[in-house]
Amino acid sequence: MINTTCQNCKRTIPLNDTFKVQETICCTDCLEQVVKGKQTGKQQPQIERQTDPTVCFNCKFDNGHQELEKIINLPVCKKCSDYFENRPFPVWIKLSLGIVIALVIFAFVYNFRFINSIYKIKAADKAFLIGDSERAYKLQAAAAELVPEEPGIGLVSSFYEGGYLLSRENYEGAIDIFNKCKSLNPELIDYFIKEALIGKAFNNKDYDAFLEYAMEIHNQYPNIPMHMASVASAYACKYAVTSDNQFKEKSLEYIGKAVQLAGNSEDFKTYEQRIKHRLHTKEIISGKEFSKRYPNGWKEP
Amino acid sequence: MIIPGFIVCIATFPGVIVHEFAHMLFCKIRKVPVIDVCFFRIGNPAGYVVHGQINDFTTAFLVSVGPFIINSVFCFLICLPAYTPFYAFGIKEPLSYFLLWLGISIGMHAFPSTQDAKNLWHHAKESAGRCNPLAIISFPLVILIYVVNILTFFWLDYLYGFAIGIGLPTLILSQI
Repeated sequence: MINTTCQNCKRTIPLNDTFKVQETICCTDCLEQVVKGKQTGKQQPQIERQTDPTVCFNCKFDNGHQELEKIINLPVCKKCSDYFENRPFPVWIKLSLGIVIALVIFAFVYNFRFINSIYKIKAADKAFLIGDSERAYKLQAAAAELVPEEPGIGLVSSFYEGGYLLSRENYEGAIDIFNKCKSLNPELIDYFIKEALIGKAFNNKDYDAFLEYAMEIHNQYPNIPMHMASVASAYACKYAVTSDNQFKEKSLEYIGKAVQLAGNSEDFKTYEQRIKHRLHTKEIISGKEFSKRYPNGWKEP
Repeated sequence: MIIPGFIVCIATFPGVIVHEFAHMLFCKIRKVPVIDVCFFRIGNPAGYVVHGQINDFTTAFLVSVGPFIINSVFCFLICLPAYTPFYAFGIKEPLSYFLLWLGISIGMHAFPSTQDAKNLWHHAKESAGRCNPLAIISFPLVILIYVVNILTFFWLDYLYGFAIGIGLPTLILSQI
């Protein structure tokens, strides 16, 4: 430890207990007096605490007359220097970090089902848009199972399932399923129910019901050619079973309007050919049977 | 309405703790002696790390920018799983609320302080003089830190917390 003398009271004291006030070394007791003496007007003199380079600033270890190494101009003993270089994190920090990491892992694991569900819902949407209603409803059902607390996902799953059953011509099943998910979008679901009812009526050879539902959809969406063609198809069925020419005329009237609106749609052309085939032959066959018999299409002789 | 900064600091104290933790972590990684550390206190600054002299720019860069990296990563990792059920299905759970508060609080304290920027600026100037490419590249970043520190008056640091905690997960989840 280095001792020095207070230039004011002349006492010998440790260097660490002294101050430097504009080149004057003084002890703590004399500091106020020295500062007052050096004060000019309102301006305070510069005060600097003296540091003993042989005493560790942290643990006060006295290294005799040998100077210690310095960290940011402060003397530090070997022990403190080692401690500063390898300062451990406090236990509470380690503990808190552990808890946060555990919470994050838990949240990821616990909430993974939501991420998985979003992924499946988006894949289901894509599948539905490209017409793969089977894949759409299976993915959506899996998503609904992952998040049972959200009933909306299950409703969409039922809607896709109804679409799938409709595409498989299981009209009864489709109507049942659609009725279960009506709250999802009543107008849209009603439309699909009517589509299923048309299919059911066609299968049951109830052509009056077929015409009634086809007409309802056409009135609801008057400018869609496929719905006009559906009315034409119903009239064609009625012509086929009754041979009443007024039904044939009605059918041709609707198919004519639909052709004007449809343009060059391939799907529509096949449907048009089927209706004209029905009017020509008075034979009522399903779309599947028609495609099987006439894979390259049918032309009116 | 003006909310005093210290109240926001208290409400978001985990962010201050993680900020100081990140400074200390990078000090330890780069073998810089840590003389004193305060992880949180009611005062200005709300936390600090007093470390030894840094002699190279890479270390100065990591120690100064460390909290930005660590706080941002923590914010995102904590908020993503917590925000997913709310974002996708509107499901609100107490744990999610807690994690969102924790994550956003951490994100809000990601920006290096003016003191960090000063330290980095000092080292960047010295190292750029010695043609250190990282220091030269870092100049715009140091300027950005300064600008951001000015914009903290307009709560940019807190908006950043929301951007990383809510905005980024929203963006990612919408891309799934």
